[in-house]
Amino acid sequence: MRALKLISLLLCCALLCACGSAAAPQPYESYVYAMDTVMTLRVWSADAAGAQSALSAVSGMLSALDEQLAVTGEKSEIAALNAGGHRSVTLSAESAEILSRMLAVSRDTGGVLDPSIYPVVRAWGFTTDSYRIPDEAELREILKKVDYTKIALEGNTVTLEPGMQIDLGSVVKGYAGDRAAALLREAGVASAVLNLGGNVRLVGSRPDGAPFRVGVQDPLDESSYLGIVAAADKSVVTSGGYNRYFEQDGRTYWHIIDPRTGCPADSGVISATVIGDDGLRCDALSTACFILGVEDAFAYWREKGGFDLILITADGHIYITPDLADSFRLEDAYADDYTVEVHE
Amino acid sequence: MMKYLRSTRFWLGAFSVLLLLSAASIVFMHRRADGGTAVILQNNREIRRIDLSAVQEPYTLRVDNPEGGYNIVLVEKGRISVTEASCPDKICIHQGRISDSTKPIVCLPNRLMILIEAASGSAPDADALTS
Amino acid sequence: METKRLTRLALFTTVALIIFTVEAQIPVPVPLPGVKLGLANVVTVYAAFTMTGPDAVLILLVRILLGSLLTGNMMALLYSLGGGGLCIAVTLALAKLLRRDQMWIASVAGAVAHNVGQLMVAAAVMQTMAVFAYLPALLISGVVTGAFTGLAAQVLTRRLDKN
Repeated sequence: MRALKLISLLLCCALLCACGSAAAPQPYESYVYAMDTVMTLRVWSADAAGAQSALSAVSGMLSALDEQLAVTGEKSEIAALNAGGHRSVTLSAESAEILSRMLAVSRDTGGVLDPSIYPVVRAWGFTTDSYRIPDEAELREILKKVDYTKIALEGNTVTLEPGMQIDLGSVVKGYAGDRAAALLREAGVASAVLNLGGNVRLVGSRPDGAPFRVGVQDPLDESSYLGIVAAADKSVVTSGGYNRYFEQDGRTYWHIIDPRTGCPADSGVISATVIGDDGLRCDALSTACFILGVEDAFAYWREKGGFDLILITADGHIYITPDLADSFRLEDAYADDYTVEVHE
Repeated sequence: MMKYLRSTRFWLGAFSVLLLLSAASIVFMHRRADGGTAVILQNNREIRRIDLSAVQEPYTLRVDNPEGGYNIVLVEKGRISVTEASCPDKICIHQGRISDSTKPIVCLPNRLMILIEAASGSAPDADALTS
Repeated sequence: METKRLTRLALFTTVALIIFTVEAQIPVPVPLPGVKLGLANVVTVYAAFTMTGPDAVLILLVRILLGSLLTGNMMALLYSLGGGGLCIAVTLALAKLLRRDQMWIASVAGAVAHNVGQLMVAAAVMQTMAVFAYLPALLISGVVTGAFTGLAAQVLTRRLDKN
C-alpha cells in the first residue's frame, strides 16, 4: 500500500514537472532561400505543431512574395511592368501599396531613394556580377530615365516612361519582415527573430522578457559585429556597400548608387542602420541615409522622426540617435577604432 | 644515402612511421571541439552559412553547379551531409555526415565543399546580426 | 617499333585496362575520395621493374586515357593523370634502385605518391588547401593498398620469371 502511494506521488510529481517544462517556450528554426539570400526564422513557442505551421506559413509567404516582386522572373509583376514599355500595368493591391509607400520615402528624401535607379545598377554590372565602370556619357544617358516623379501611380495602375525600369529591392525585405511578423503574431507567437538576409525583424522580446540583442556587422569584417543594440518588437535594417562591391585600380565601387550622380554613394557613410516599427520604411531609409550622409540623414530624422539611426562612417565614427544611448553598446574590441557619438 | 634507399629495413621503418603519424593525426583532429557552423562552398565561393546547433527540423538544400550537376545537402541538428548528387562516384554521399571541423565533405566533379568551422565564439551574445 | 615490343606493350596495357575497368565496377566501402584498391598498379609496378622507363610510362598513359573513356568518367582524367604521373615517377625511380624482390616497396611508395598527386590536383581545382585534411587517411590507404598490390606483383613476377 505504502509503495503504491509513493509511486503514485512520484508519478504526479513527474507529470507536474513535465507540464511545467512543456509550458516553457522552445525555439524552433527554419531556413528559407528567397530574394537571393538565406533567411533564418527563429520562433519561440510552447506548441511544437503550432510553431512548425507558423514557420511554414511564413516560408510560403516569403517565397510567394519573392516571385511576385523580384525584378526578374516569369511570375513577377515588376518584371512584367518593366518589360511593358510604357504601357500602363495594373499591379496587385499589395504591390501597388509597396510602390506607393516607397515613393513616399522618395519624396521625403528628395529622390535619394529612387525605385527607377535600376538601369544604372545594371549598367555597373551589379545585377549580373560582370562589373564594369560606365563612362560619363553613358551614365548621363541612363540617368535621363531615372526619375521617381515620372512613375505615375493611380490606384493600382502604374505607368512608366519609355526606357524606365523599377526595382523594389530596397524595400521588399523590410516589407516581407512586417508581413512575417504579422503572420507570427496571428499564430500566437510572442517571441521571434527573423533574419531576412541581414534584414532583422523582431517579434516581441526574448522569452524571458529581456530585449533581443542585435549585432551590427562590422562593415570591414563580415565575420564580426562591432556593437550590439538591444531592441524588442522592431525592425532593424542595415544598408552597407560591403554587401556587394567590386574593386578596380585600387578603388572600391559598391552597389548602393546615388541617383544624383549615377555613381556609388560617396557620403562618408559605410553602414547605415535604421530601427523602427515599420519595416518597409526602415529598409527604405537605411538606403536613403547611406546615400544622404550623416548631416542630411540626421536633418531628416529631426524633421520626421519615428525611427532610430546608427550611422558608421569611414573615419571611425558611429553616430546614434539619443534614444539609443542606453541600448547601443560598442564591443570592447572596437573601442580603439571607433568613437560613438550621440547626434541630436 | 643510396645505401638506405636500397635497404628493405629502411623502407619498412619509413612506412611504419608514416602509418603511425597518420593515425596519430587522425585521432588528434577528431578531438577538436565542434563549433557547429557549416559553411557550404561552391567553386570555392561561400554560398551558405548554417548554424547547425540551432537547427530544429532537418531540411534539405539543393546546390547547383553552374557547369551542370547538383548536390542535395541534408542539414540536421549538429550535422550535415550530402544525400543525393549527380556525380558518377557519389563519394560525397558515402562520406556521410560531418559534425566537426575535422574534415570537409568534398564533391570534386561538382566543385562542392562543405566544412564546419571550429568554434571561435562567433556572435555568442547576439540573437541576430544585421548586415 | 619492333613487333615483339609492340606486342608486349599492347598485352600489358590490355591487362591493366581490364583490371582497371573491372575494379571500377566494384563499389568501395570506404567513403573517402580517391580510395581504391588500384589493382591495375600491379601491371605498372611490374612494368617499371621489367621494362624500360618510357615503355612503362606508355602503358600507364594509354591505360589511364582508355580507362577514363571506357568507364565513362572523363572527370576523373585530370585526377588520374596527376596521381598516375607522380606514382610512375616514384615507382620508376625506386625500380632503378631496388631489387626485384623489393618490388612491394616501390608499390607502396607509388600508391602513396598516387594519392598525394590526386590531392594536389584537387587542391588546385578547388583552389583550397582544405582538401589536405584527407591526407592522413589517404596515406594510410596508400600504404595498405600499395602493400597488397605490391605483394600481388611480387607473386606475379615470381611466376612469370619461372616461365
